[in-house]
Amino acid sequence: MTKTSVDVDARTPAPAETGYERIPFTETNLGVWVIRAGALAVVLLGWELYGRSTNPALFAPFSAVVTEFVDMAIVSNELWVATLDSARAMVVGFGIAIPVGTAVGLAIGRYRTVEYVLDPYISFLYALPMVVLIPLLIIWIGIGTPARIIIVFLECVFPIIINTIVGSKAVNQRLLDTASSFCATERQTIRTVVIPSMLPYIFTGIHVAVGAALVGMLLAEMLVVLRGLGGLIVSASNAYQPDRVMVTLLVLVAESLLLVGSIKWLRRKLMPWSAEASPRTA
Amino acid sequence: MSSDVNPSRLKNTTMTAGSDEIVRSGPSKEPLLVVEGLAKRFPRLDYRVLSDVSFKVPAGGFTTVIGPSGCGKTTLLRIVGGLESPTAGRITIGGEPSVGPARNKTMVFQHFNLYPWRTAIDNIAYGLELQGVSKEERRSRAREYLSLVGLDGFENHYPGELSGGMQQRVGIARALAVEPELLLMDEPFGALDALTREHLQTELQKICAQAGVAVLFVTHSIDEAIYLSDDVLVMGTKPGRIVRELAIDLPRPRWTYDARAEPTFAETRAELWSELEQELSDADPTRSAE
Amino acid sequence: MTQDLAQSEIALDHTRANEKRSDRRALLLRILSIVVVLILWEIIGRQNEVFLSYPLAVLQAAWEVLVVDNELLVAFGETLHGYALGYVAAMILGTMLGYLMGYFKGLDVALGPYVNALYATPRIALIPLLVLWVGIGFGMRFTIVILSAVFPIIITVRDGARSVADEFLDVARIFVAGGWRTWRTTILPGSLPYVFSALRIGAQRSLIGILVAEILAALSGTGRIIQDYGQFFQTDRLLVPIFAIGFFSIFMTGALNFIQRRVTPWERR
Repeated sequence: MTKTSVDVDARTPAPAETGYERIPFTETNLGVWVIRAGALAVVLLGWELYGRSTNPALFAPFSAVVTEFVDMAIVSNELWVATLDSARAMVVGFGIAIPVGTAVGLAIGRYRTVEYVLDPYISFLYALPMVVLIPLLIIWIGIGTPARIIIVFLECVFPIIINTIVGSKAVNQRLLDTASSFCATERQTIRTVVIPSMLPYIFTGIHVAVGAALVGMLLAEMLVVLRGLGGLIVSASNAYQPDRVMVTLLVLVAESLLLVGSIKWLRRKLMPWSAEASPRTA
Repeated sequence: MSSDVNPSRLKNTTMTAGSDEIVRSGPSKEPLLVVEGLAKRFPRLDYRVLSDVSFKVPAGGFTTVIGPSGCGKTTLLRIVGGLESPTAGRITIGGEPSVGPARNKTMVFQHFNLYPWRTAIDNIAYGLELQGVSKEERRSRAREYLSLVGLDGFENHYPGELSGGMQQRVGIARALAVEPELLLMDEPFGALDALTREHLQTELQKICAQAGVAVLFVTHSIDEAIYLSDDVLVMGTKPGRIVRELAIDLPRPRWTYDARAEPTFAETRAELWSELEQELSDADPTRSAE
Repeated sequence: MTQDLAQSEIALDHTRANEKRSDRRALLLRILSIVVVLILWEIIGRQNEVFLSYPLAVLQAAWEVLVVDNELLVAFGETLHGYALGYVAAMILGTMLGYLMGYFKGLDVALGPYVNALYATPRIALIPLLVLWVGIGFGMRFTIVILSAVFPIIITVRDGARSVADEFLDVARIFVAGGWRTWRTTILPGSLPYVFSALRIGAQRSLIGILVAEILAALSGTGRIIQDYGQFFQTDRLLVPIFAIGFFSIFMTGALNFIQRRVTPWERR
C-alpha cells in the first residue's frame, strides 16, 4: 500500500506577497514615448544650437529648415512637383521590374537549363553596383527620362529575380505530394500550391527592390538628369543652400519610410499566414 | 599536473556506469531543498500561476512534480532554479536562502538547449569554464561525465550530429559536471521517442545514484514519475498548488527487477491517475470525468 | 517598419550564402553559355564598336590602362584605400552599436527610429551635403563608406543578437554567467550568421556609396575614371573597370562566405 504524504513540518509563516512583477520601464508604452520624445528633443535642440553657431552656407538649423519647408511646400509647390517628378520615373521602372523579374525568375526556377545558361550573367549583374553602368547607358540611350527608368529598372529587377528563384526552389515537396494525391492538374497545382508558397519570397524580393528603386531614382537624378528630388539636392548644394537640401532630404526620408512601410502593410494584408520568408525558421 | 586536479565526486564512489551491484543508501533525513509558501503571479494574468506551494526534497532524494499542462510546474522549476523570481515565498538550499541562479543547482531542459556551436565535450565543460576551472582540468572532468552518460567517442561531435537521446545525455552530463547539490529536470525526456525514453529513465537512475544529487523532476507521465521517484507531488492548476503528496514504495535500485510489473506500481498509478483526472476535469469542464 | 526591410535583406543574403554547389552539368552549361556569348559579342561588337566594343578590344584596353599606363590601377588604389579603411571602421562601429542596441532596450528605443530611417533612405542623397562639409578627397571617401555600411550593419547585428533563442540565455543564466561572459559564449556565437550577413550587405552598400561619391564629387578614383571614359565614348576602356568592379564585388561576397564557413563549422550547409 502506498503511504500517505510525507509529513510537512509546521511551517514558518510565509513572507507577505511582494506584488506584481514589474515590467521594465523601457517596455511600457509610456516608457517608449518618454524615451523617444526625449531623444527627439535632444536631437532638435542640438540641431538648432549647432546650426545657429556655424556657417549658414554649410549647415542650417532646424528653424531655418522649417521656414524653408514652408516656402518650398506651401508657398510654392516646388517640393511636390519635384517629388512627383521623381516618383514617376521610379514607379515606371519599378512597375516594369516586377513582372519582368518575376517572369525571368519563374523561368529560371522552372527550367534547369535556363538557370545554368543565365546564371553567370544574373549573378554578375546582381553583384555589380549599377552605378558603374550609368556611363555605358548614357552612351547607349543618351540622357533623358528613358535612361532614368532603365536605371531604376536595373536596380530593382535583380533582387526580384533572385528571390523568385529562391522561392520557386523552396516549394515544399510534401505540399506538392498532397496536391498530387488529390489528383490536381498542373495548372491547379500551380494555382493552389506553388504560387501561395512563392508569394512570401516574391514579396521579400519586392521589399528589397523598393529600397533599390529609391537608390536608382536618386542615381539617375543626381548623375544623369538634374531633376526631381535628386536634382534639387544637387543644385541646392552647389548653391550653398543647406536649408533647401535638408528639406529635400527630410522629404526623401519620409518617402522612403512610407514606401518601405507600405510594402510591409501590403504583405500583411495579402499573406496573413506568413511572418517572414526567413530561411532560418525552416 | 594531475595532482593539482581536484578529484571529482565520481571518484569517491565505488560504482562504474552500468554496474548493477551498488545499492544507493536511502535519502538522508536532512532536507536539502525547502520550498515555503511559493507564489507567483504574472502581471498580465488574473490568477496566480503558483499559490502557496511548499515541499521539501532530501539530499540525494528524487522528487517528481506531476500535473496537467499549464499548471505551473515548469514555472515552479524555473523559480527554484533562479530563472524567475517568485512574488512570495522562500527557497532554501542546504539551509541557505537561494535567490536567483547559483552554482549548487543546475537544470536539464526538455529541448536539450545545447549550444550548437560547441562540441559535446565543450558543452559539458561549459559550467566549469564559467567557474574559471583550468582548461586541462575541465576537459578531464568533462570527459569523465561524458563517459558516465555513455558517450565515449563522441567528444568532438556537434549537437547537430547527435540523436535526441544523445543530446539529452550531453545535457545531463553538462548539468552534473559542475557537481551541484540539486538537479532540476524539466520534462527531460519529453522530446524523445518512447524507446529512448525508457532507456534513459534507467540510465538516469544509475547516473543519479552515482553522482549523488538530489533531483526535482517535472513530467506529465505518471509512469515515469512512479518509476523514477521517491516522492510524487501532484499539482493542481489555476491556481497552481500541490494537491497531493505521495511516497513511492518501491525498493531501489529499480533497474534490477521489473519495477513496472509490480502490483504496487499499478496501485500507485491508479491512485495518481484518479487524482490527476480530478484536476484535469476541474481545469477543463468540457472533459468528461471517466 | 523598416525592421522588416532589414529582415528581407537578411533573408535574401542568407539564401544566397547557402546555395549549394552545383554539379558538373551545371558547370558545363555555364561555361558553354559564356563562351557562346563571348563569340557572339566578338562578332556583333566589331560592327558596333562604340556601343558594344568587343572582347579583344576590351582586353587590349585592359592592357593599356592597367599595365602600360597604369591610370586605372592608380584609380583602383585610391578607391580601395578609402573603401577598405571605411569598411573596417563601419564594421567595428556597426557591430558594437548593433550589440549595444540589442542588449540595452532603452538604447534601441531611443536610437532605433533614427537608425531605421537612415537605413531605408539612400545615403547617396547625403553626398552633396558631405561635399560641403568634408570636402573631397580621402575624408569624403571614408565618410561615405562608413555612412553607407554602418546602418545596415547596426540593424542586422541587433536583430542577430535578439535572435539568439531565449533557451540559450536560460542556459547561460543557470550556469551563472555574467553579462560579458553571456555575450561572449552565447550571444556572439549565436548571432554569427547575422554578423556575416551584415558584413556582406555592408560591403555592397559601401561600394555603391564610394563609386557614386567619386562620380558626383568629381573625385579622382575609379568612379571618376569611369565617367571620363564614358564621356569620351571609350567603350572598350569603360568595360574594364565595369568588369573589374563586378568581379571585386563577387570576390568580397565569396571571401566573406568562405570565412563564415570556416568560423562556423557547426552550421551544416
